[in-house]
Amino acid sequence: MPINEAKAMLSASAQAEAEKARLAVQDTFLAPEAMRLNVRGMGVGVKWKNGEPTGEPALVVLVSQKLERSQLSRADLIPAKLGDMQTDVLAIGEVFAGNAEEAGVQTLTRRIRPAEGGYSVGHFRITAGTMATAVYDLLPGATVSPPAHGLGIPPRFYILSNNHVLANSNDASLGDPILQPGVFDGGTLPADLIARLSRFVPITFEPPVPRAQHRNLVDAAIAEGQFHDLDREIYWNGYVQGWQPRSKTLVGQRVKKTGRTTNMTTGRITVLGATIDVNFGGGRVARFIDQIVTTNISAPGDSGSLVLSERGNLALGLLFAGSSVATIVNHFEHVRSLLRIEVAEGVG
Amino acid sequence: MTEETLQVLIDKHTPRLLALPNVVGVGRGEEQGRAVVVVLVSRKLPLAALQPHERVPKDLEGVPVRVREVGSVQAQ
Repeated sequence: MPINEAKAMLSASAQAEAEKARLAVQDTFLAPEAMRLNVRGMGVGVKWKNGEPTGEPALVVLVSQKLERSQLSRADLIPAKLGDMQTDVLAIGEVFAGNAEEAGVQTLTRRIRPAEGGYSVGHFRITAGTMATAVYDLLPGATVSPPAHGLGIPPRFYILSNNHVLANSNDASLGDPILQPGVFDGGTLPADLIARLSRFVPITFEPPVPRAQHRNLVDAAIAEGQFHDLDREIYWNGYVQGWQPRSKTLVGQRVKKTGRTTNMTTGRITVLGATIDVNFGGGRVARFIDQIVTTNISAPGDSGSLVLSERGNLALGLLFAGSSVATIVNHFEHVRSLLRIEVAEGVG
Repeated sequence: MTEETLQVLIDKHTPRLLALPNVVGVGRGEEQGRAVVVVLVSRKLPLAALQPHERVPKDLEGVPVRVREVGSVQAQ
């Protein structure tokens, strides 16, 4: 039997009412530390009853899979109401499996020229990561504090990404080939060579150095390519307008990124000034200081993505690690000063 | 308390906090407009499962501490 189409849509006023309710409860309901089992998100929609739309507004809780009440602990049940609004539950499956280096149907794994931010890239001995954007050397007169763009002719152009993407976690030699797409995504030498490793900030690892002595600030590297092969546009997020100083980055700020695995995602900064231990595989751990922690906006393969302010397209960080609930980001200010690179003409 | 003073306070206690079981990170956060210290753990355990000296303190010199479970943090 066909459904009543009219009742599957919300009136503008019902939509506004539901949006208001969503804004009131969403931050609490989707707070990573308080997320109920299987909950992946929430939205606004129509309440369905017995397989029929009711036309009434509801907060739609998105879950990976629906479970019987008896299989859930009391704390994990979705309440019938959130705030003053009734809820509905919609199963969306696991959108991106946590441990997948594997390409999903919609990933930025293809060959593209000129290459742009968000696409697969990598050192010839690694799997694949993400190109943040294209950058150039700091120009004469550029300063970090107060931040200022220099003037002049950039002598070289580079792909920006992580050390563990472009420099194989310190194990590469300068001049090593960088492929677009990365090896895992079918990139081969010499057909897909796009750049050669130019500079990287070495990461201190345990072993051999005890992590209490680590002062890692960034996981960052650049590889030089040809101007006609590199575009600083970021797929779906457009052109970077400048960069945001560390002092202007605030807890609660909304951010976005485009990456090879999870495409365009948006999130929120939850912790600043974080010291955090990151596992690099093979038993190697590195402790990073002064990091940005955001809600989960990434999965393996997104390393190297440029994290932007949601409004204004200012570079504020370089994504390099994460877990199933959080993403870890270097301050762009540190990336810029340690690699001595510039991303765009503006300062936010 | 300014951001800088809070960070100095956090940095002072960070080595000790990172030595506790399951603690993988420490930073500053915000809760209803109020500054808090955030301790990131790979796994939250009930207090009873931890020895008194293994527990994350409730506050650092008066600044409330929040424990947040982040699982295992991997380079991506």
